[in-house]
Amino acid sequence: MTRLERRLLLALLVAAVTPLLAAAFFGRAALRDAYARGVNPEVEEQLQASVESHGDRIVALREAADRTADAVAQHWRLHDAARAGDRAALDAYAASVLRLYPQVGSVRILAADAARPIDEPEHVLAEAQDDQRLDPANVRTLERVRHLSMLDPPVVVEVVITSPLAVFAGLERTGEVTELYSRLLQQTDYVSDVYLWVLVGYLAFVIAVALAVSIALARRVSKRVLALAHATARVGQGDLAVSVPDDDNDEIAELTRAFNRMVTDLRESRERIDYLSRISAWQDFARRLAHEIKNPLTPIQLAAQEVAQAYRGDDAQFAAMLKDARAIIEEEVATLRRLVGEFSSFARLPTADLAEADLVELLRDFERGFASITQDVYGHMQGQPPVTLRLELPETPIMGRVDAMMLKRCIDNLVRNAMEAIAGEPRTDPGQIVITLRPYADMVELAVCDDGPGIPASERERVFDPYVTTKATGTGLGLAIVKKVILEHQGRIACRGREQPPHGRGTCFVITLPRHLAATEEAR
Amino acid sequence: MSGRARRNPWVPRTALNVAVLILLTAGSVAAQQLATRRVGVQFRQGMPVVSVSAADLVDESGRRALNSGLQKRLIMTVQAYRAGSSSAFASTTVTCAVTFDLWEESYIVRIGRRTERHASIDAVLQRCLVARDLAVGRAEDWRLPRGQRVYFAVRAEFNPISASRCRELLRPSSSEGPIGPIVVNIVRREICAAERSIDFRSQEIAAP
Repeated sequence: MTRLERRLLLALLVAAVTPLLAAAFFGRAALRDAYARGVNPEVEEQLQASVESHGDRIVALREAADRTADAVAQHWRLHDAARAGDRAALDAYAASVLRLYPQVGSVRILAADAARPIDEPEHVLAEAQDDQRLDPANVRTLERVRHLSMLDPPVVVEVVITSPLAVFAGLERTGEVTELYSRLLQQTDYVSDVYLWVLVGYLAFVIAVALAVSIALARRVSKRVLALAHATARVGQGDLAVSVPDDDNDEIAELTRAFNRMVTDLRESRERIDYLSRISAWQDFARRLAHEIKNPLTPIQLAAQEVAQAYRGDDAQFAAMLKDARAIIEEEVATLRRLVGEFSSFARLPTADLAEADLVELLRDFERGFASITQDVYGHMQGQPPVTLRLELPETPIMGRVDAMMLKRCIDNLVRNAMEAIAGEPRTDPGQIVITLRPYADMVELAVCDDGPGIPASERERVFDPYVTTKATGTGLGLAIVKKVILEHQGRIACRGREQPPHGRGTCFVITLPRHLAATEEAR
Repeated sequence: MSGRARRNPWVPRTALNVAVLILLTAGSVAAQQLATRRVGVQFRQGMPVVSVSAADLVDESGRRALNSGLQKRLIMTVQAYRAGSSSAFASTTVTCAVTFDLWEESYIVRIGRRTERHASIDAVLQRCLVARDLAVGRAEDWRLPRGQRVYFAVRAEFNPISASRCRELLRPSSSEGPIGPIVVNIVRREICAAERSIDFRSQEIAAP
């Protein structure tokens, strides 16, 4: 984990844990308060009272059952019938008990005979029973027995009293709820704390997930920052070929793009400086060469003329040989003088003197002088010139800071090269040279294209080096001069092929120059 | 003997629960450290029968609770341990559900599927917390090497709510979201724990 990642993680941790701790602190009190709203001693008291009430009701029902049994046993009708031994009256009484007391399920009147078990059937003097009332699915029963020994003969009365099951179920249910409630009340702090810890656990889990995501994101950011740092270090070591991927659309990507632009600018500046240094060295060399060659040329020529004129003999063959030798020497000296002239011209090439100028106007001016260039290049040819020039220019002025004369010389050079290339190949149709001027952003692109034989891709980079030429009679200085001039304009020049339709073949020299936007606007 | 009344909670109760759970799982360490009481042990045909009383589990407040008319549970668990061993190898539990019937004024004691009626609370305690010749475990648990030393740990609990009943009574509210079910599951153990319990162990004896 990098330092940036650690710091980001720490910041996120603090940002996440602080509210978590605050939530835990305040949440504890809030949870206890909320819990106490539902579980509190007042409610427990009422529930306990409800339980006691249910119990009291059962006790009351039991006591009522005793009183009912007493009432049934002490009734005068029972006593009269028992004394009289009137079993019909006893039956009627038993039946009347069921009518009179709805809680009585059955009543039996038995003869109390100490000699025999009381449950024997012959003991039953009278009985009445309501099976519906005794349904165990609905009621609980309580048997009460009353011995009436004061009667003669003595009798025993058995009364079965019923009570609804719901009364007992109510006690059971209320008791369970109350007991649970009491336990919950006793554990108030514990339960609310568990709520709190579970809540904190959930939040901690969410924070952990958020942190994991943040770490992943931070790692992504730090990785990109690290890549930038490494790239910067490589640039510091002089490697200007470095480039950092910038596929995203955020601030880091913006920084990366700016870095890449900076490296590109640095690379171009270095190439420009390298090239200009090289050219300067070549200029120095050309100046010395011109000086060293130029000085002996005149004595050579004079010596040759003198030798040829000094011969007074009759040997016609020798005289002819001398004449030929003089002609050859004079021709070669002339060639050397031309070379020396070009070298001198290259060596004396001035530095560009930049001033505001309308490039559209500059090119139109060049177009006007095209006829004299044609005459110069194709002067020896008969009929129509084998090449046409077409300009594709914007309607409005395009201002730039240029040395108009030198720039025109560059275009002249490129057009002449194109014309010579077109003339140098056998063709039936006339060649075409197109000059286009196209502004974009803060730059302007000037292209000189031809449909000649083209330059092989492998040689396109080298054509700007001094003394590199594809022509039989060229010195290889023309394109070097062009590039020097363009670089002095803070521009770029590239040689490209024209493989794409509709032209199909040929060469394009594309010059990119800084555009003078303010002046352009003013000119419009 | 260790008694446990209702606690006054705060603090890391969850941690306490976990600790209790670990102790229960660890078993023998805690069992060995229990106070020792006299426990009658006899071996009959290789199986031990123990006679032990935990009637002191129910104090005055317990008696009042048993007379309330609400059902209370009395549970006595006897576990057998090898001396120095880490876990019980035989166990028997007697569970009584005691209800004082306010209608018929007697104690209903349900032990398994059997229902008994007792007239007094002492009779109930004798039935539920005083074991006489109680077999511990099954015969196959007692295939021990001759002379193996064993001891018995007894745990008596007053009114724990059974796990199933506890789940029935203490259910998470459907509206509580994801927190409620977790909380309920955690607190159930504590809420439904016995109101009071005692633990003790026997002296060590050698298996025949």
